[in-house]
Amino acid sequence: MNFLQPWVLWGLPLIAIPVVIHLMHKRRHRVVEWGAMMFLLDGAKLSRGRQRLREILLLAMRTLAVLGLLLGVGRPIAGGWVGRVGGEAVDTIIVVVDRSASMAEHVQGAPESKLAAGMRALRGALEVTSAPELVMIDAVRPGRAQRFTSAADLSVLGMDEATAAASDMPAAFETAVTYLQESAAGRSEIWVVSDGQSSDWAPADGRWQGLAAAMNDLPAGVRVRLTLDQTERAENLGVRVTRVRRVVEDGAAELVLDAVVNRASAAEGSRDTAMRVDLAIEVGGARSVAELEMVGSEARLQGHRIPVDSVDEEGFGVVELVADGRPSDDRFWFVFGDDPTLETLVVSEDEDVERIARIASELPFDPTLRLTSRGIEPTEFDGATGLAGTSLVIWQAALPEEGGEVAALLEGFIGTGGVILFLPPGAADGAGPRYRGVRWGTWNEVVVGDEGASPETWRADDDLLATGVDGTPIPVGEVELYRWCEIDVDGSAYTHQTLASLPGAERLLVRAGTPSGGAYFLGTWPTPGAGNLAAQGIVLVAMIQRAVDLASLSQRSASWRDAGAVELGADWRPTEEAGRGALSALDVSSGVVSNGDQWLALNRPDSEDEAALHPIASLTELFGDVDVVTAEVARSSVKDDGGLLEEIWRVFMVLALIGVLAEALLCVTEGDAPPVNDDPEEAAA
Amino acid sequence: MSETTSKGAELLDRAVLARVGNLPLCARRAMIGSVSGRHRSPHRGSSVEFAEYRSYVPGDDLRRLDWRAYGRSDRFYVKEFEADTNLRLVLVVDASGSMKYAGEQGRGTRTKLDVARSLSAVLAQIALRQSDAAGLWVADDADRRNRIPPRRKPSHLRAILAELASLEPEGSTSLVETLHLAAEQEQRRALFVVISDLFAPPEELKGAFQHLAYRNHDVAVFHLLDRDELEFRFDRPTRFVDPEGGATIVADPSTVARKYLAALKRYRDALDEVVRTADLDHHEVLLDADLGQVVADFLTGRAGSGARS
Repeated sequence: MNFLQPWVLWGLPLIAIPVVIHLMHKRRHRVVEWGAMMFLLDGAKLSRGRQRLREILLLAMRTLAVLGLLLGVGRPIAGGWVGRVGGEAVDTIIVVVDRSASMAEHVQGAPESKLAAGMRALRGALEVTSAPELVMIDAVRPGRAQRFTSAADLSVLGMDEATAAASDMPAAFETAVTYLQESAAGRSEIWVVSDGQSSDWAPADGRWQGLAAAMNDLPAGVRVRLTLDQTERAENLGVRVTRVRRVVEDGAAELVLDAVVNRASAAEGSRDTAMRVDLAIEVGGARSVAELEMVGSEARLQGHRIPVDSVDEEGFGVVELVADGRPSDDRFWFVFGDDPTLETLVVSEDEDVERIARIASELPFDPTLRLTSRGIEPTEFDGATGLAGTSLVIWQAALPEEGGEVAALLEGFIGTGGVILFLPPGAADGAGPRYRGVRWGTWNEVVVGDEGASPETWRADDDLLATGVDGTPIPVGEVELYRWCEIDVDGSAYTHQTLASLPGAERLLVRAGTPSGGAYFLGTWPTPGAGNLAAQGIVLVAMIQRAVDLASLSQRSASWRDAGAVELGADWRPTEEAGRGALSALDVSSGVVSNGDQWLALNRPDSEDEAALHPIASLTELFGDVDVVTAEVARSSVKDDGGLLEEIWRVFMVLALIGVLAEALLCVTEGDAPPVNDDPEEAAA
Repeated sequence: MSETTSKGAELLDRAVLARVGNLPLCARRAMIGSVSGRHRSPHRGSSVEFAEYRSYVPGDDLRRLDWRAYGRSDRFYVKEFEADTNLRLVLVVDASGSMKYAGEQGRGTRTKLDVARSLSAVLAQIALRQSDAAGLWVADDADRRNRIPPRRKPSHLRAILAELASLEPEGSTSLVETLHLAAEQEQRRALFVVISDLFAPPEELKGAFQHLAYRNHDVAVFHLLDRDELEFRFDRPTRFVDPEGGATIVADPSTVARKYLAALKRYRDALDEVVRTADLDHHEVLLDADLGQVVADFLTGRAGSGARS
């Protein structure tokens, strides 16, 4: 048994107070020579033994009350039989560990990271727990449930090391629930160590609803214990390379590097103070420092040129900030080489659509990018080979059946950062399959001779139709459509964002929520028969170029990939200069790995830089009616065990209450005041 | 009086004596005295109080023959008259340890023995003043039992006062034994005035008092009590020490008061029974009572129920 507030135990000597008072009480007895002893003896003869027993009981009850109060205030926690007495017996404990990059953070003044603090609490809880079955799920690799036997195994399994990857908490819970369903486990608990980062928990993810229902349906029931460290750093700097390319001019090779340093500060107004940031850049063993002046929450390094050996066409490097309490975002690795070729695959059943889309996708908008395209018919689509090296897919065909092979391929493509722009099939009738909550409705046409429909509202602040960086708006209002297909959106399982809509709130361009990459649905064709998208040109080209640009982020695989987002084969090894971590953790660690042929830089995902922590109260809502016990990890005490164990203070408070009530009862039953006779004459008589 | 200058003279409370005035001390029963006095005697004598006629029997003093009656009835009658005699006052003072209680939860100034001394001195003074005999028994530790036989001489008061003044309340009580012994040793009828807190089993007291009644003694009892004993108003845990060498009890009054008062009530009920069966002249005296009033009530009561009334 441990205590969440062990300092209270210093007050334990206070239980001697009733004894001391009792002794003092006895010592201050007045002595009276009393002749009428025969009556006193007569009265005391019966009650003397009982009196002594009562005194002992009173003393015991008072001591019990003080002891119970003290121990209760100390917030005792226990596992094992004590915990079972105070709580409930548990057959299976599934431990879900969030090892995402944000868990490596050291909160100001804390000697250990959030993960270390959480794991210490977890181990402390496991040491006093006797659940027959222990199962561990690593939330950065959420697909596998692994059994273990003791707290020490967690270190062997590498759970003490934070990774550079993001956690997928819904997936981890899915694995946990599946395990419980398949093992037909008895009363179970899911213990979670996390910081509640919104990007890891994805509270808007549609899977939570199903998870809550599945947990509720478990026959033996399940309880979720969340041990969350939601302490936020007062000040944090993070660096991220946004683009790196190698240029050769006049025979001299240089790296052109764009980077951004973000500042997160909880202190009001501190972001307004200017500060100098030294950004160290190391390429090929050569180290240089770029100085940035930061005002506000962001400082950008644009087009920073670093001379490199012209012989080496490929290489890697790292940008570094002075280490702070959150080490995971202080470094960013990159690999450079020839700029990649960004290919657009147009899958279309209509030749005109294919032709126009390919033209638009090949228009060069960035001289450093090589843009290509190819077109195939839907029947020719072979996902395995067809998507290799592809950045953008323009899919003008029937939507894939959800759960089918094609859908799985497209999901994988989106998952690696690819972007798909769906256009309606020619035979859309409102009865086709639904993909990511979207189904094509029926085609609408304006009567010949009438004016076409123009977009009435559109998102100009963000995404494909956003106003350009130079402030030039995209002339979406000039688009005129004669044919368009309705977009039927079912938002129950997925989130959607309408980027443009026609009069009558009819959707024209919709983006479905995806964890990475993008899935867009444009309800018309670029052909002249459908409107003036091709003739007007600007809107179509801007949309496709921005989709390619978005997809190009994934194609910076030559530069970096998200840790945890790629599967590395057995031949991948950390580079001597930049590798770190065990081989088993290569894919989720940051650094540069190589398979002999190519380098790959792995960094934390963008989402890990988001400081937003989902409030505990909101997290518990994700589980619906499931019993959720939450506790924030208190860092002030090295003895703390978080909320993983049963808090049994109620037991002690009940004991204290029993002590007080019993004491009162003893006093009331034995302490009747003597009858008072105010009339001396009557008394004498 | 010359006695007032001797040892124990301070026991004579002048305020009490003044309050009592010339009230007589009367016996409720006929006394057998050696000299004539103001108290009724069981013997027939030659006083002016006619008692009865009885038939003459040979041997009777012919001088007592009522010739007038013979003349009227032609029978011999002897005329008998009641004889008056003096009273023998036997004071029995309890000087056991319990008599040292002074009231006010042990902090009072007048002990029970002080009250007993005052009462005894006043009663002895009254008895001797009216030419009755007064004596004293002291009931303290059995080994130190003391007796001053009743005498009529006024100077006898000095001896009684000296004895009273020398009493110390200590030891266990021997009241019952003393009463039995006095009943045996005081052969002639007497007025026994017992002054005690009567802290003895009522059955034993009953035996002793009945023993006295059996010997035709008139028995009066001054039962000394304090309000503390009647009400038990202690407000905090107290160590009660038996002054007669018995047990010591540490008790929280709040826990034992009820049982104490119940035991006291049982005792007083039993004592009432003893008073009835032994025909005692029982007076309960509180330590803070006006002794003058107590003695006056006692004397007045007895005068009202005396043989001449």
